This record gives sequence, C-alpha cells and structure tokens, in this order.
Amino acid sequence: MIKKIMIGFGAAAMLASAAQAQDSTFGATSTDTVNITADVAPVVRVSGLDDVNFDLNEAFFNQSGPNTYQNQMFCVYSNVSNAGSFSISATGTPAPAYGSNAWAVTNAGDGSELAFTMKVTDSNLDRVVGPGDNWSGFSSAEWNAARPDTGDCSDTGDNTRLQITFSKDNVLGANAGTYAGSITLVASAT
Amino acid sequence: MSLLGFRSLVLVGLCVLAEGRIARADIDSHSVPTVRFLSSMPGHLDWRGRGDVSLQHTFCVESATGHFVLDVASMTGGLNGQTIIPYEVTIEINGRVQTGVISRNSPIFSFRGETSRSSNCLVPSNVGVLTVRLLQKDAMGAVSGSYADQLSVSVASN
Repeated sequence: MIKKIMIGFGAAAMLASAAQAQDSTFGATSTDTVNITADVAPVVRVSGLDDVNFDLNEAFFNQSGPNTYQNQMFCVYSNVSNAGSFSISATGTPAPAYGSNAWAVTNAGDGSELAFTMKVTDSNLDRVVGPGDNWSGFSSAEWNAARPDTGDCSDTGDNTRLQITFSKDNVLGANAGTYAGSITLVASAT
Repeated sequence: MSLLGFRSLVLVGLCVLAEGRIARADIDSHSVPTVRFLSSMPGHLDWRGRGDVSLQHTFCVESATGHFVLDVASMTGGLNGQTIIPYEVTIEINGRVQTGVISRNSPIFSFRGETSRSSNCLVPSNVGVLTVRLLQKDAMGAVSGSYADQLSVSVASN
C-alpha cells in the first residue's frame, strides 16, 4: 500500500519536472523581419548667390587694366556621386553683338545694353559660361576637398565661384546710366 | 496506516498532479512572447530631395507577462547602397513611444514595453507601429541611388 502511494507521488514529481523543463524556454525570443528599400533621387541645388553691383566710374576708366570683375562664392550641392558632380548652364539676356559668350544688362533709361561675361570655377575646372553653354565636369567636392552634405554648404563652406566681368571697351561704348539684369545659374545632375 | 490515511495521501498526490498540469499549461502558453508583422509588404522610402520620408508597419506582440523587450536589429547598420545611410526607428505600442537611430555604430534599438496579457492580436494594446524615418539631413549626405535594409524584430520577456 505504501508502495502505491509512493508511485502516486512519483508521478506528480515527474509532471512537476516536466513543467520545470518548460521553463527552459522562458526568455526565448520570437522574431519577425521586414524589408526596407529606399530610393534617394539625384538632387542638385544652387544657393548663396547675391546681387552683384558695379560702380563703373572714372576710377575704372583710369585704371590700366582692360577689365573689371567681381568674384562671388556660392554653394552647389550635388548628391550624384561622392564627388558631387554637376554641370552648369545659365539663362539671361544674350548679347550676341558683343560675342558668343556675352550677356547683357539693360539701361533703365534708354533701353540700351551693356555686355558682360561670366566664369564659373570649382577651383579646378574653370569655364566661361555663355548663352547656350552647358559645362559638365564640375565637382562640389573640389574646392573644400569634401562634398557638402547640406543643401547650403553650411558644413563645408561655399564651393563654387562666379566671376562677372565688364570690359573697359564695352563700358566706354555704353551710355551713362543704371543698368540692370538677371542671370539664372542652373546646376544639373550629371 | 489506516484506510482513511491512505485516501488522504492519494488525494494529496492527485492535487499535486493537477497542479503540475496547470503549471505546465501556463508555461506553454505564456512564457514565450511572440511578435509578428501584420503585413508582409516591404516598405519603401522615396526621397525626392525635400523633407523627411517615412513608412510604417504594424505588428502584434503577445506577451503573457505583459512586459516585454523588443530588439530591432538592422542587418547592415543602416540603409545599404553606395553608402550606408542611418535612419530613425520609432516603436509605438500601448501608449508608449520610443525613437532610436539605426546606424553602423548602433545597429540595434531596444524598446521596453507593456501590453495586454491577452494572446490576441485583435486587442489594440497588443498592436504596435514600427515607423522607419529617413531624415533629410541623412539623405542629403548620401549618394543618389537605391538602398535597402532588413530589420529583424525580436521580442523577449522583460
């Protein structure tokens, strides 16, 4: 009789052991996965260009050099490559009478035109940008040895230089007055 | 031992047996929390040059204890392509929200949460949202192209 009782306890002990064995899975993990894809579109952005003002007065006429120019640094952001490559073109008022690369500003009084030219450089590539030009091969990483990772070059500093030039010959041939015009620089992903 | 004493001992033995069965059933159904996404559709982030982009996946956590830890692990430590782009991960479940960053230096994001003790994905407190957000600042630092990652979400009892 006692033997039977012991068997009863033995079975209970075995079941208890089985319950404890289940404890070995306690803390195990369950996992599921999800796939994520992303497309980063090619993006180019020009920023930081300001108005450029020239005071073409007697000092300019009396200077020895044939031209006067102003430089302005600005930012081109491009994510097309690690080099941040881009091409440059421009739109504005062409002045073909002054050459294929000439642009015009207009006299507010009489509507006459005064020609100028402009160049863009990334410190390595230097191109005169005239009407119809589209120069490739610029790099937004060239000037500062690093591509900007912000759209306004706040991390690297400006990386492209615009130079606008008036020739003494053209200015001497123009009427006195105030001239104004607008050029739009277009950077494209290349 | 009297006959009465023997019956008592047998009854005690049966009680132990019964308790053993209850304990076993309890462990089987509750000790291992589970997680599964409620949609198998892959998520796509399409950054077009402006702003942050995000996607969401809903998932279900079943935890008998009600307390769990989710580990969100990236296969590549970010969106992998020509470069590796970090991104944000936000887990929201049962009113608790936590955001982390997946990057090469931190490919795993952990979230401690609470949920209903019910093993039922129809219970709202068991359903969470995983948000993946590609920030503009990180997208702008990348080279254009296609990127991918796989997130493994594991759950364990807390």
